[in-house]
Amino acid sequence: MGTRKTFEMSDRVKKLRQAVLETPEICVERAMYLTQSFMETEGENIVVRRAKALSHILENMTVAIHDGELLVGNTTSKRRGSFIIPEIQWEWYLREMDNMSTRSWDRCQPIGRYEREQMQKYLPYWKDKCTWDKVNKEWNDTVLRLNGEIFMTHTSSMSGQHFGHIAVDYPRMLTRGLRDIINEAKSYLEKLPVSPDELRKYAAMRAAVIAMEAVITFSKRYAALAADMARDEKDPARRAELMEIARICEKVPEYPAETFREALQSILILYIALRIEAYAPGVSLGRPDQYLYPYFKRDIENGVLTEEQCVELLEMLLIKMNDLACLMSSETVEFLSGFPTLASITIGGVKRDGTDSVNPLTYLFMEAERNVRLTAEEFVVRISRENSDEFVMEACRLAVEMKGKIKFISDETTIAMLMRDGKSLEDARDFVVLGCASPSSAGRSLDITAGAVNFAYILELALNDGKSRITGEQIGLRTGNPRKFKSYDEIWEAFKKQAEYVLSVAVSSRNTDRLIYAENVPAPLHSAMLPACFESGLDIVNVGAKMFATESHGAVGVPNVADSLAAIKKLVFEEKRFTMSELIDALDNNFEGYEVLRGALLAAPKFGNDIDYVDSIVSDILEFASSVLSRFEGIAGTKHTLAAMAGTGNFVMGSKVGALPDGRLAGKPLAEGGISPSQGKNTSGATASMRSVAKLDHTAISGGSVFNMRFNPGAVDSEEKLRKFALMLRTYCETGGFHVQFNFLSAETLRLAQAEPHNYRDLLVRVATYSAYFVELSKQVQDDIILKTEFKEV
Amino acid sequence: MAADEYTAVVFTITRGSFVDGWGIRTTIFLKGCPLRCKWCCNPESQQPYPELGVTPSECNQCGACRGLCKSLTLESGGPVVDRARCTNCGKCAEVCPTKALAMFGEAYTVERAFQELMRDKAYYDRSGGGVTIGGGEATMSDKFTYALVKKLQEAGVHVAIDTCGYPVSPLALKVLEQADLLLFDLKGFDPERHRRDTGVSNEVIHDTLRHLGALGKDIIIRLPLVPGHTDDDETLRKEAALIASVGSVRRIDLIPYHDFGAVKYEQLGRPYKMAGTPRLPDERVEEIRRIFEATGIPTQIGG
Ligand code: SF4
Ligand code: SF4
Repeated sequence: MGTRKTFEMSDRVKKLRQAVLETPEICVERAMYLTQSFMETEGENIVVRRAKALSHILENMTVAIHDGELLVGNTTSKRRGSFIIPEIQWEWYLREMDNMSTRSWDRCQPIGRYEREQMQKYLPYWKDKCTWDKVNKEWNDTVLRLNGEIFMTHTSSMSGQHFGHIAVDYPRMLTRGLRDIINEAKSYLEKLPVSPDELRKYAAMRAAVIAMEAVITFSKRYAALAADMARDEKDPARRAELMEIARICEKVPEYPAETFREALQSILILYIALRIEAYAPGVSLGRPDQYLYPYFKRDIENGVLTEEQCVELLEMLLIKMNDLACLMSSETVEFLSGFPTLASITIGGVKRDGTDSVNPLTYLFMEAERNVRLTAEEFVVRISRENSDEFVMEACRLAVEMKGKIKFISDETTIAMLMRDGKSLEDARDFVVLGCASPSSAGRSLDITAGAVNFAYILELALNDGKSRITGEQIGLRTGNPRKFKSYDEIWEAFKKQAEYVLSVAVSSRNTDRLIYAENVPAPLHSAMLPACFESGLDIVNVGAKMFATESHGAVGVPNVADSLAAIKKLVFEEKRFTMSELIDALDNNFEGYEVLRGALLAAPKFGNDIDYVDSIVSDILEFASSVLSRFEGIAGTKHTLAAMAGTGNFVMGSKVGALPDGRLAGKPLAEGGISPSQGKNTSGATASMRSVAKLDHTAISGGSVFNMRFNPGAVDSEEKLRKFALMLRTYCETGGFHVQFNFLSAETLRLAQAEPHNYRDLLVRVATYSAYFVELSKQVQDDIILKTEFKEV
Repeated sequence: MAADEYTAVVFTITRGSFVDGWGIRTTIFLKGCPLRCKWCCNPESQQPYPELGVTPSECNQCGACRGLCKSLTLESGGPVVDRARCTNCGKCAEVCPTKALAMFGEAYTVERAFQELMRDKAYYDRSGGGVTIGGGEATMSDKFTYALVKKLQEAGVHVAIDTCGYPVSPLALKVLEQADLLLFDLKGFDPERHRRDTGVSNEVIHDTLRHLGALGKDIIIRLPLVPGHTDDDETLRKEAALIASVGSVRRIDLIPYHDFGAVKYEQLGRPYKMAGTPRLPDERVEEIRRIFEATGIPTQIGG
């Protein structure tokens, strides 16, 4: 077991864990109180309205303390609940109300009568007020034509979410307490605002005070409840615990935390309030093993905390992160199946000063996660040359035990990527990873990804004079009859023209969205928790204080495009095995009657096998797309960047694309994960795939990228093999890789789970980059996971 | 001919292997073997030339191979090859889109193999790994393998050879002497039974092992445990005594018999002589492990 100490889950922790394994239930409270408040505040400044709405929710929503809890706070009124975000989209909740418990993906429990009535009463208020309705009126015909066709959940409003992808400055809040920050805001309010900037900041400070007071009130409601419950509690031990909860919730987050437990309670309440204010997957805790360490160390030294108690508290925190299941419309859920929460915790790597960041609390976090292993909490492990072999081994052991639910990120590659985007060395070293795999700086940066651009579709446009091969509709530019292309260069030129066009539309679409967000859904609590926003009075949705922000566009299907271009280059232009005309005929006929031609295409070099011939084309595509995006400006100077991640969108995006010259049939899924090789195409061994990915210039995909690998558990069934595995991972990270995660499930286990879902309720798998319960996925996604190349032990 | 241009027929290259020696390795498998073990699970590695493999169930009846060659007929259940007439020319495999017809093996020059094997250098260096040359029997391609071993070693790569211990030439023996690590197979003790099971006597093999031991070479012994052939106590005890006497054996790997190779016999149109052989019970394998562990040399199950 290495050097790690093991602690088993206590019975009460087991019960708390069980409670969040239930099928999610819809909770209408957020939508109800938000709407009530908005009805009352019409005409007021939007930043203040948003703060008042948050306050109204936190003052009225159900508070409950469950048996055995030491850390308290709930995101909804249910143990595992889904709230409604009507200020972004409202209509689909009503439209899909009847089938949310029966649809094929991400089902919730049937919606009760009370909930239906409230939804029908409050949601229609948002007609023409929600961002999605507004954006749809702004977008021109070109954007509307491409949306849903080439773009998916490409803007936040399209996915029905706020911005997400953020870790606020938790250490500032812990050490100062909200009261101190409120006082700072209040002192600003004492002066008369004169200039436009001052007037804006004045409103922001009013909103900040309201929002922070609301969080304090929320916490005190728990304090009062705990005190009430203590009075009625018969068991003296539990009574003492409730009294302690009451004491702590009375004190934090209003005042600085002084003990480890106070610190945990403080960040939990804030975390819940942030999710309620503005939710999208990727609201993160940053690097808690770093900012909690001083509290832990002091308590251990003073003898008021044991490691065992510490692990139990951490387990309770991780379980709490699972009390929210993000419900999405059937359109969005195709892109992000599995109730993604992506509540990431980043451990490992270096500190701001470049030294090893791993401390004893890091190991206890791993131990807590080994026990909890639920879907919402995401563990991101940074791998740096500075980290010890012992740490990397422990992280690998955890990944194997968790069957792969750990994301590995290279420190060196990521720091270089962030610095290229303009971050300072210290901020870059302090990075966290948010959402699927987007690097960012906690408390200092907003780096948003929202959905994806279908690159395979772009290639189809280049090979079909701008038309969809499936519908025949003119979607892109007219770049000429592909049968007449005389050289590889002509095809590459056509692809570039289509890509430039599509990406400009993507930026237009995204910028429209952001402008509407800036006007309609500011997030005053988030902004108060980010020093750059707070000091400038600029809201986070306005990209406060030009907070080194990036907007990335996720490229989907790049491996398919590269495999296709390589096949054309080699077979049509180099070996002259067939003509462009024959190729296009074959694609038009979905290869029916062209089996031999398809066989040759399938045998051509494929990405993921360390073949420079095709790997270099992947680089060409990424570098070109990234340079196109870098020419556009986002709101408040935001940079547009490229990412390579697909969520589960490779299915629905694949359904829109006809046959491709990589031999893929019409409608089939595209390559999964972003830059993971196409399903079943990486056949040369694990290091070959790793080299294919590591040789790409990751600064061209600074928005992040996703590389998933499947491992047979037998390949790492001894300490010796695990050590080799750890060194393989280190080599990948040190030679240019960015992200990798592994799935250690055997195909047999997965097939069993498909056949007997009830026995595998808590079977976690990686879907793209987040974890989901296997049995909650559609059959199609399940089948795909089984299909993914298994690197067998040899 | 310059050493870089010597060729051998490679049937597969496996990268990122955690077995076949220390650290992370790339294993290159060469075709051609002087032995004919009845239980061989890589029959496609025995002949030194590329061979046609046929998997009728993969055929989609596209018709591309029809009429291509007199030794091949396309029937409703897929392609049927007359092995007596087939010259393994590979023309049919070239046109077949589904790999129902596919070639085992492709000629590589030393230079090409070297380039391919150097790709994971960073992984070898980080993990104390390297290249393993297996087969078949790597020393059958003596010129090629000798040149490749030297070239890899000059580039700072640790080289292991997986060998049956039956060098076919003085140069083949030099290949073994040159390697940094030997994965050395032992297949039974009784010379007569060894001849029946593998086609050759084991005296040369034992001499080779003692010779390499005297040179102080790092050796990992690999013992296939084949029920009814190599698994009786007497054989195992004698083998253990031999291994203990060698001196430089670092580890013993026990490889319990499995029948994963059976399908390849079908693809090659050859009879599988081991059909019906049971697997050894786990308890027996553990018992055997203890026999070898008594030599004081670390003994593990599986490679
Ligand atoms: S390998 Fe050559 S000889 Fe043998 S069946 Fe195929 S085409 Fe005929
Ligand atoms: S070429 Fe291959 S797939 Fe086509 S008929 Fe012949 S064996 Fe079958």
